[in-house]
Amino acid sequence: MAATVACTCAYRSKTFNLVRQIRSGILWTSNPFLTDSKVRHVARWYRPYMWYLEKLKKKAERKFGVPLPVPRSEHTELPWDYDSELYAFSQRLSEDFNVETLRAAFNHREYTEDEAAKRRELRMDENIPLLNIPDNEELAEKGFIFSSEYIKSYLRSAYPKFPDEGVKSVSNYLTDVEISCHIGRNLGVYDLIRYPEFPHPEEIIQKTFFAVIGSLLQDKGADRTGIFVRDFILAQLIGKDINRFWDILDPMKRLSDYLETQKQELPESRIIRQSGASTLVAMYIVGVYSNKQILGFAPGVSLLEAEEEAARVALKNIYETNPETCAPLYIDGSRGKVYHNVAMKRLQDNNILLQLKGDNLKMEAQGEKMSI
Amino acid sequence: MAASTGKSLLRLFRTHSSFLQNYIHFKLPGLACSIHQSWSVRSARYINTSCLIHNRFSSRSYSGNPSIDVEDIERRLSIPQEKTNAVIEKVNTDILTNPGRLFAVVYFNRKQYKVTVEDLILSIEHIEADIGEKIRLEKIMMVGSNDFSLIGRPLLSRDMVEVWATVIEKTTTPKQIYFKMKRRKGYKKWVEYKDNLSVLRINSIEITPLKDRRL
Amino acid sequence: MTSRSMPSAFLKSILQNGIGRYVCQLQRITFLFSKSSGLSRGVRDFIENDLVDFARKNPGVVVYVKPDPNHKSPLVVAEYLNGNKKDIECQSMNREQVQKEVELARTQSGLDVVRLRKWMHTDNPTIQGLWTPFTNKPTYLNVETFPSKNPTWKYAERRPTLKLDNEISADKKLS
Repeated sequence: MAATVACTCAYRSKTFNLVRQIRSGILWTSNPFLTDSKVRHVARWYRPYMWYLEKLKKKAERKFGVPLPVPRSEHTELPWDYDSELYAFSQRLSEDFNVETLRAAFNHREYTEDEAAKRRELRMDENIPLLNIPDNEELAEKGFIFSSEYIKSYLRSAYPKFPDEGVKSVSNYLTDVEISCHIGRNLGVYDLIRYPEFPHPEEIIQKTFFAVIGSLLQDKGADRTGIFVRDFILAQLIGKDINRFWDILDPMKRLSDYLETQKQELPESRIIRQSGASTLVAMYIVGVYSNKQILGFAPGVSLLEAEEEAARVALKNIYETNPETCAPLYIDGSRGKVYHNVAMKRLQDNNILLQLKGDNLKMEAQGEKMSI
Repeated sequence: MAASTGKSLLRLFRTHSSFLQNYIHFKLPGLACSIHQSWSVRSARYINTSCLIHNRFSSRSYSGNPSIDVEDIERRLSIPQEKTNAVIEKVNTDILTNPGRLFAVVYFNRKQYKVTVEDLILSIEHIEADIGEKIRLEKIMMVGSNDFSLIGRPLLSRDMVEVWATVIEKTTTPKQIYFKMKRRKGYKKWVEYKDNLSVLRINSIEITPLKDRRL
Repeated sequence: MTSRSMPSAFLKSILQNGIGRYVCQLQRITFLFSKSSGLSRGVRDFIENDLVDFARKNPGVVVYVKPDPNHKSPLVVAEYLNGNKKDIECQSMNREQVQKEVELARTQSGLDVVRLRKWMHTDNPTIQGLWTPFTNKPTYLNVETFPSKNPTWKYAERRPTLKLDNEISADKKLS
């Protein structure tokens, strides 16, 4: 009788434990192997127990609904300390952030307003230090402008012949929501964000990420920030063809314009190879020549397509961005250093760093505005 | 006949590799090879066999500093000297101006990998270097670009090629099960194991021009 | 338990790690253990002897220690930058085993531990170009009608008078 009672107690505590853990987002199960490591089979009670747990979980979900995702800071099982997290964040990225600026970078205006409203409702004191932290609006804007300018500058030093249009489109791609949000998530920004809505929207992650860059810019100067942008944002270009971000509509026209400015002969297309011309799976390889020198060649299912593609390849060769023949984009090493130095010098020459130092950002003139 | 001798040689390598190395070194100077000190016995075995295949032209012994006797090759294949000189000069100018993207065949933990910059490679071995540390891959069997290829016999010189890599992850395989059983014989074997894995990122491949008509 | 039924993946890295600067992927590690249970002994030993050194060596990893009577058999929770969480059950392990587990958690990237299909990953599979049926073929074959008795490539190589260069033989101008 006593044994039965003990069993029931254990049973109850397990149930209780489970419901608690389901709510807190953790499903903890006991070890299915017996404690003696020499026993190699799974215990007989394990599978029925798991079935039972599943049933219980479904029942709880039916009754209370599927649990909403909880921010890491509100987990009941796992501890959380915001200050340690901030310290570790800066150490992890091997940057010496100023903790207070970093704290501001994660703090959104909406969060402060939301907290203040809550406190007002509860008639609490609003002047608690937590709410006196500045928000990240300005930092985000500074970080965004610096990042896009640095990316452009770096690409110009790495690909000196690539036109400005192309450089801009690559920079737009890298500072877009998709990529910057991806970087922010994988650098551990997500858990530290202070924003009322959860799960945080992607734009907020992007904004926070650029605010982090802005805080680095404010405290540690442009040089360190440039290296940060290079290591984390520009590295995302690896494995991608930079020509694909810039869609050239009429490559042949662009090519002939270019050759005209260079005072060379106009492009001339010729068939190099063809196969199965009278079949459904015809294939042509067309080369584009100027002054009997080949500029580029490409295959296509029709002559027109092959010609257009060949012109594209010719442009890639002229711009020296053809991934098949050109050197890779160097991020680190000696060449990375050289590109970085050239990029920084160009930023200084264009007075962009001075503008970023000033309190009032007047970047409207350059037609740049953060898309948040 | 030749194939069978080759097979028996390989089998012998497997069993008495150290003995055979000495044997080859002393008795067969035409096929000579000796081991670089830093190689493990397992890798040395492999390299030795490849030496036997590739050392047709070389009368020199291979002792850690590989060099190819270009004159000897020219004489045997009756290639004019100007032609080889022109090729070497062309490759040198290519290296100095803009070689573009390079690839290398590296020999790492008894496997060969064809790598270029930014690649990831995996090896079933625990590496002593900590995560984030840079290591140099020393055994380079081949380097090439769009326009040229340099083939080591079996390795390229350390001074000529440098390949650096970062250890980015040291992990394990998922649990693997080795199970053997014989029916009605009461024989069962059940082994659970996990192999160590390390992942490397290739950071750079750098080459310097060829010197003195020697590779 | 065939290889087909097991999950598998290709070799990859997070955020191109290792290019530029290296970032340790372990974000935080939490020790949940009991203060009195014998099952937690190894974890307690580890915390007493090694944990401070571990935290000092890895300032980028947040270390939490939480004595909890619910965890008679201890749990080490490793959280990674990509959002993955790994629960390590350290029940009745000794100190060395716990050390090993923590070290493994530190050096992993947080990606799922599954069978890897390839030994390498590359974004540039070819440097000298892919082979096509046209590679090293003379261009005059374009205008040839087959079957023909004209020379093959090998034969043509020995006859320098034949037009072999792209530039010369590409004589059909596009309209």
